[in-house]
Amino acid sequence: MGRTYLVEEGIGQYLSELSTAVKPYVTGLLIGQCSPQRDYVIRAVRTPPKDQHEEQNSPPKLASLDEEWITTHASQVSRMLPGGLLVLGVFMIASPELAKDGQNALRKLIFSVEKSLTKRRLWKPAEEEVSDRAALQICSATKKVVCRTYDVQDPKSSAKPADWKYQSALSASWLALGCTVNVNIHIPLLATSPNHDLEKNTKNGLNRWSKQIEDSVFLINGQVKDDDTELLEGQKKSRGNTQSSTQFSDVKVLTQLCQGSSHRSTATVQVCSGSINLRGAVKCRAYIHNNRPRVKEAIQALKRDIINTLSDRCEILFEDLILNEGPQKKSFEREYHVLPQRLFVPVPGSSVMLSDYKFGDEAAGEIQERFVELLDQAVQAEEIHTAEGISTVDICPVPDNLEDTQQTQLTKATLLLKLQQNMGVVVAAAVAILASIFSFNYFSD
Amino acid sequence: MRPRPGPAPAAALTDVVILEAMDILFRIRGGLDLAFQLATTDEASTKKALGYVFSDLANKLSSEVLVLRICHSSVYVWPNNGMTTVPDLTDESACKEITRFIQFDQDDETKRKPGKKKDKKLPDTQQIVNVDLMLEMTSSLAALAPVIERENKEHHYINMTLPVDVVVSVSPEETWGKRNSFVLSLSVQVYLVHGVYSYHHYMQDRTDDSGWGCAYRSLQTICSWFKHQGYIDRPIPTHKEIQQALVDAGDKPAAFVGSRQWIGSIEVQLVLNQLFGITSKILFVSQGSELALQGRELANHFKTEGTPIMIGGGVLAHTILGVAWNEITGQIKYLILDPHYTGGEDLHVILEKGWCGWKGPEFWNKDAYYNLCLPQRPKAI
Repeated sequence: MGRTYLVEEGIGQYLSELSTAVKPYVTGLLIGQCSPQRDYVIRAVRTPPKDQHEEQNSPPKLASLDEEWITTHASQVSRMLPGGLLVLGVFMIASPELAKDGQNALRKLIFSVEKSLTKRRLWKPAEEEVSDRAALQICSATKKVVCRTYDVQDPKSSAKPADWKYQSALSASWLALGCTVNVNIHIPLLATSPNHDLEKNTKNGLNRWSKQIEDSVFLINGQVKDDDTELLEGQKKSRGNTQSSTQFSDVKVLTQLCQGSSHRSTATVQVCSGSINLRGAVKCRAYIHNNRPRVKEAIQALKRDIINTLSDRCEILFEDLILNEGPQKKSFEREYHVLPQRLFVPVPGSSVMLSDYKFGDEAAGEIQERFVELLDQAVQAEEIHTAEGISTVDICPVPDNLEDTQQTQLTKATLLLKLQQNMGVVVAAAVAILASIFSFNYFSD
Repeated sequence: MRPRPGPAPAAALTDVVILEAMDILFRIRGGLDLAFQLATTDEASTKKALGYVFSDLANKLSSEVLVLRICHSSVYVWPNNGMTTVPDLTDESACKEITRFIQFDQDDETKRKPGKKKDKKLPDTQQIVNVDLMLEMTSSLAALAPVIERENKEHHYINMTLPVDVVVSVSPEETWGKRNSFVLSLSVQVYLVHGVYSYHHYMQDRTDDSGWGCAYRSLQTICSWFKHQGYIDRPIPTHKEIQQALVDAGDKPAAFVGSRQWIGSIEVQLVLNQLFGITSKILFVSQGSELALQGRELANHFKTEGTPIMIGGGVLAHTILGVAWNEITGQIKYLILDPHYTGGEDLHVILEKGWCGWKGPEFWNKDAYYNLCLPQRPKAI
């Protein structure tokens, strides 16, 4: 049984308009959502033009297909997708002569796009997740649409046929989940570690934080529900479904404070040459189709958005730093970088909003240009909703000693800490006893 | 979760738990991460850094980010603002209502360590509700684009997890609105740990006071208690400062400062008053054997004031941190913090010597007379 792709009606028009352009072939990406039963395509975006002065009368060769350019486009587009959405396929509109080569090219593209997206991710897809990606081929002459899928988890995967069905108002009533997540990540830079690259260390810190998010408990609208229950269970179905409305669910994320594997409280001391702190409160959002979605899908979508939004922004910042300042080694005592703020932009005819990031000094014009180039979407300035404020970077002294480094008295330190180690066990014992006594001493009046 | 006035439950680790038959036990477990940076590793900086860490922790525990999860249920509670995932559970609900939401398993944790806790769990009377500590990572405040701050400065980074294991015994009829006591228990634990840490720390400050300093140490412990409750600001007084306070109060001649003279509970009372304006009650017991008769008095003190008690008599001074007293049988046990520990960091020594532990009435010298100093908590905050 092949996959079924339910496609937003407007995409048919978009694709047919593309094919009338004067080019040997046109490629692009398909954006949407995968779910166990079927997949949804809500946008198709042509590959951005690379050079203005391409030779117009070069023979149509698929060999000139710029794989790297297309995969870069896919990476950049995926940074503009809220949770639940992904690049789920590639399309190609080509003349009949290129049909056969087209299929091979598409297959190659799908695997390299997936590879480049996987490389950037800080989360792993679950075992049972849909790993089929769409290869859509359209003949520029006959307008015939052929949709096939490849399993990107299987390098030897062969093409499987798939259904391509248009549907109006496909994502007009999708469900949104959102939250604001407090971020407070501290990354010590070990003196023993030779690598003090800001980017690499930040990524390590983000990896640990991502794990914490993955292990967290998600409450939707103040309730915890079993993964396999339906998200909308127990909610009245709206009678009139003519209006496109977004049902918005507020989510709380809770993380458990564990005792740790050992029952001893052992203190670790690390000699560090510096530290990195990442602090803020990020706006997170995910969308889920409204065809009996399960709680599991919704939570997974939001989890990934939380992880992505932080890592994407850091990636954007580091790209920007290299661009503007070059890869020079800095030796300032303190450096601050403000990560870009998140903004949301509506998609016409859909309840889904796309996302982007902007630095404080970027004007609306630059954002509009980006949407045109990367998502082929014209956005009005007033449609841009900035979801986050910018913190005024105030230099708060970290509550530790700010005096200059003196000769470290390591013997005393180890003594102290050995004490702490022992303390933990004694204290835990003492405290358990004490608490039970004091617990009823403290609620007077 | 005030138990009915009467028998006070004692929950020692190695003892049988004596409880009111119908009481529900709430056991809160988890680990609190403590992490801080130290540019210099001298004691003053460490103490200061730890001070910040603990006060941060205390703030966190009393804030809206603290969440308690009732194990084996879908009940999550925000103790500091009353939010909960089960709207049925209101402030007026009786605590026993909580058990309705729990799926008690046969395979419970209490079976894991048969030797340690001889907890008699009677299925139809004694119920243990396990509670996990959680933190909320989301907030309802405005979102703010994050900032990466990088500091290039050498330092030590210290990281540890403070184990939390708090037991609160509750009458089933008690209203759920009193859940704040969970948080208080946690905060108490934090303060205790800090107090105890500070106490222990003094052992390392190289004042060789073995043989004469026990009452001073006890007084320092009391001060650290007040300090971490926020009643006093200034640092814990040193032996010399304590002696100077007594001179200033007119109780001792100037030559007292720098001497190795003992002090007793009266002096402790004077110093607390002189330095911090804290008043204390003095309890006098003519014979050590009569101390057991002071059960009600001590229990009341811990109930209303909750401050550590300094007890001096014979030739020794100790600090009493708590008492377990059974009104009906008269059984009594004292939780003693013994300042006489002078050893190194050997864990076995610490435990074996009963540095901090429960003592029975036989601990006291039955013929000696004892003075107790019971500091009163300042009423106006």
